Amino acid sequence: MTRSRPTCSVVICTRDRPADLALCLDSVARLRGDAHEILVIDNAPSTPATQNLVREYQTERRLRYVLEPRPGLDIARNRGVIEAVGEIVAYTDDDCVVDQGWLEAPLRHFVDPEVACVTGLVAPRELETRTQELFEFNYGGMGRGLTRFTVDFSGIRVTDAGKVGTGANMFIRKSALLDIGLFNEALDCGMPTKSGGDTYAFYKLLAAGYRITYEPEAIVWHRHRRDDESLVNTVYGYGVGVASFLTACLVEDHDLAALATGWNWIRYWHLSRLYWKSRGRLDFPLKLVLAELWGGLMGPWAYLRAKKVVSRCNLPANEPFAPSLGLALSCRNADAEVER
Amino acid sequence: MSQNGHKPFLSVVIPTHNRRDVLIRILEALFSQDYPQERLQVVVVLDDCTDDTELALNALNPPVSLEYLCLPKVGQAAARNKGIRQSVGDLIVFLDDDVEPAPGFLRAHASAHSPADNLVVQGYYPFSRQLKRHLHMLSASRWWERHFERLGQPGRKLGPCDLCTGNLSVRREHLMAVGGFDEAFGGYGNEDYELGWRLSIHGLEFRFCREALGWHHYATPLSKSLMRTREEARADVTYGRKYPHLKRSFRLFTLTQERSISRTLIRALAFQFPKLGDRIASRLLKLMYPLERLGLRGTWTRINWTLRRYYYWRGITDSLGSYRALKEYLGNDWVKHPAKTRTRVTGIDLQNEAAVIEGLEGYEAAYILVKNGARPLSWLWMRSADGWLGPSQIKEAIEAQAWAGVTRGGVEGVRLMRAFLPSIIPVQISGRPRPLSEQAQKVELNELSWR
Repeated sequence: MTRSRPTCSVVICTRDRPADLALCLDSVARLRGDAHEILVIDNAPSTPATQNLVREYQTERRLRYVLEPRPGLDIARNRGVIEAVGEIVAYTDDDCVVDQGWLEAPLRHFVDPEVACVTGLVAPRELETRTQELFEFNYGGMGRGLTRFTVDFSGIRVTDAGKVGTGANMFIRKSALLDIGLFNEALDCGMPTKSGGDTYAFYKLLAAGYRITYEPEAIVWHRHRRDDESLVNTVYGYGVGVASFLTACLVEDHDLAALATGWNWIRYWHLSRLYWKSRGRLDFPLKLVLAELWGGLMGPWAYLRAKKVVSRCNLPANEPFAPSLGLALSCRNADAEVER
Repeated sequence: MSQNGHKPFLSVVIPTHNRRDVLIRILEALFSQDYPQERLQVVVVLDDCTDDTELALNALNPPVSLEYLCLPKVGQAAARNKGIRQSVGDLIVFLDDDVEPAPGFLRAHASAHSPADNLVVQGYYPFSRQLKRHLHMLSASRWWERHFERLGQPGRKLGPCDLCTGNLSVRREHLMAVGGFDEAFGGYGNEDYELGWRLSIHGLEFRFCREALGWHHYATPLSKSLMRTREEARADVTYGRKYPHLKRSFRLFTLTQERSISRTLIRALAFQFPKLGDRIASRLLKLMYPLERLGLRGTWTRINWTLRRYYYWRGITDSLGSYRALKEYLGNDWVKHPAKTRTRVTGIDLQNEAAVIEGLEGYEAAYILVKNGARPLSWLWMRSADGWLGPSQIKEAIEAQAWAGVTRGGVEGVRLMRAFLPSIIPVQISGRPRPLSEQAQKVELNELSWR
C-alpha cells in the first residue's frame, strides 16, 4: 500500500542578515526534488537589504518574500505557517546551510499520520576559531546524535522536549501546528526570552499525543558564533530560553513536570559543571558556565516581560490586524524599553 | 458468490447500545458513500436501547435499505449473530456504533475482497483527533495504533488475539460455515478474537486494509474502561476454557508469571482482600484526574497500570473465585519453568525503548543478530547478577559460543533495542531451524489491552 508523500513549504525566518541569508538561499536552491515552495519571512527589517536580495533570487524558483513587521522569531514562524501552502512546514534559520537531500528522509516519516514533527541533525558549518570548537565539542553543539529515534508522551517526560531537536532544523505538520495553537509568540529571539520557542512547540505536540521523530539524515549546517562575546550572548540566551520555556509550561499549562525538568537541568547541567570546573576537570570557560546559569535565573522574569510585550503588540480582538510600519516601530520601541 | 466481482452486495451490521447521536452520524456517513445504493443493506441491531434510538431511526429517510431489530439485553455476540441472520448481502461489514466511515470506506472493503474469496479484511479505525485530549485517550489510542501496526505487518497471519469487529468484513458464507459468533461470550470482549481464530482455522487469509478507514469516536471514560478490563478478564477465562492449548498466549498467563512484590501485592489484594482493594482502587481513581491536570504523567501512568492489573485480577476472581481455582484452571501452565528453558519477554523498557528477552533464547537472539551482522554489537546489553554487561563482555561470550555457560553462571537476559525484534523473526540458527516468532508474540501480549 502506498500513500503519497506530503507537500512541503520551506520557511526561512530572517532579520537583518543578508550575507548569511544569501548562502542559505543558495543551498535551498540546490535542494533535490522540486515543487517545494520557499518562503522568506523578513522579520521587522531595518533596511530593505533582505527584500532586494530575495528579488535577485526570485527568477529561479518558487520563492516568496513575506514581510512580518512585528519582531520575534516565533511571530515570524507563525506568519510562515499561515502563509505556507504545503502540508508540512520545514523551518531553518538564516545562519544555516541545508544539505542537498535535506527534505527527503523527513518527508518519508510523515506518511505516519501520528508523526507531527521531524527534527534533524544540526552540524557545524565551520570550525575555524577556538570559540566555534568550544561550542561544538565542549558545550555539546546543536546536534542530537546520529541515532534515529521516535518519541511520544509515554517515552519521555514531555517537558524534556528540548532533547528531541532544535528549531534550526525542524519539519512540522501544519494541521498539528494549528491544533496546538501555533508557536508561543512570547518566546524566542526578538523577545526578552531569546530562545525556547521551538522547545515549547515540541512540548505542546508531545503533550497533545503526537509523535516526534529525530532523523539524522536531514542535515543542516549551522555557522556557530565566531567570537567569544557573541558566544557568551548565545549561551546566556539559551539559559534564558530554557528557564522561560519552563515558566511557560508552568504558567500556561499548569504542568508541574516543568519543575522536575528544571531541577534536573540545574542539578545535572549547571551544578555538575560547576563541580567539575572546581575540580579542574572541565574544559569550558567559567564565564560561559556562569552566563548560562545567570540566564537561567533571569528566564522566568524574561517570560513575564515578553508576555507584556506581546500583549502590547497585539491589537484588541475586534480590530482587524493590519501590519504597518508604525506598529512595527512601536513594538520595537516597547521591546527596547523593556530591554533597557 | 457474487456475479459482480467489484461491487458485491454489502450488508453493514451495526450493533448499538444507547449511542443515538453517534449512530445517526454513522448512518448518514454510510448513506453518502460512493457505492451503488441498490447493492447496500444496513442492519442496525438495538441491544437494550433506552434512549429513543428507535424513534430517531424511524425519523430517518434512508436512501438504502435500512432494517433494525430491537432486542432485550443479549450481548454483542448474540446481537451480531441476529444481524448476520437478518442480512442478505454476499459480504458482511461489521461496524461498531462509534466508528464513523470515511469517504470511500465501502468501496475499499469491496475491492479488498476482489482478489480472492477467502479473505478476512480488517479495516483501520484510528481515534478521531478531537477526542485525544486526556491522557487516558492518548494511552488508549497508543494501544490501538500499535495493534494496527502489528496487523499491518506484511504476511501477518491471523492469531488468536488479533481480530477486532469495529471495522471488519467477511463473506457471509464463511460466517455461516463457522457458525457466527460464539454466544458463550455474553459480556464484553473476546468474541471477536475468538471468531478470528475460528476463521483462521477455517482457512481464511487475513488482510489489513488501511484504506477502509473509519474514525473511532472512542468516548469511554477511564472508570468505564477499567470495568471493561474486568469484563475482558472474565472473557479471557471463557476463551481459555474453550481452547486450553491457547491459554499460554493469553494475558492471564503472562500476568501470572509476574512475581515482583508490587504485582504480587496487587494479586493478593484482588484475591484475598477484595473489599479493601476496591476501596483503594476507587480512591486511586479519584486521584487520576488531578494528577493529569498537574502534568504528573509518569505517576498517572504507573497508577493506571496498577489499576488495570487490579481490575483484571478482580475479573479473574469473579469467574474463578479463588487462587486455588486459578491454579487448577491453568493446570500445567501454572508450573514455573526453569530459567534455562524459559523464553519470556519480561517487558518493554519504555525509557530505553528496549525489550528484555530472558534465558537462553535471549542469547541465541543476540548471537544471531551479531553473527549475521544485522546490528552492531554495541546495541546489545546483557543483564547479569551484578548489573548490565557491556558489549565487550558479550562479544567474548559470543565468540566462545559460551552463552549457555554464561546462563548457568547467573546471567539472566539480553536487552535488545526494540528495533531488533522484527529482524529476529525471519532469522534462523544454522543447523537447527527454529522460528522465534513466539517471542515477538509475547511482547504484544504483555501489554494489557485497551479495548
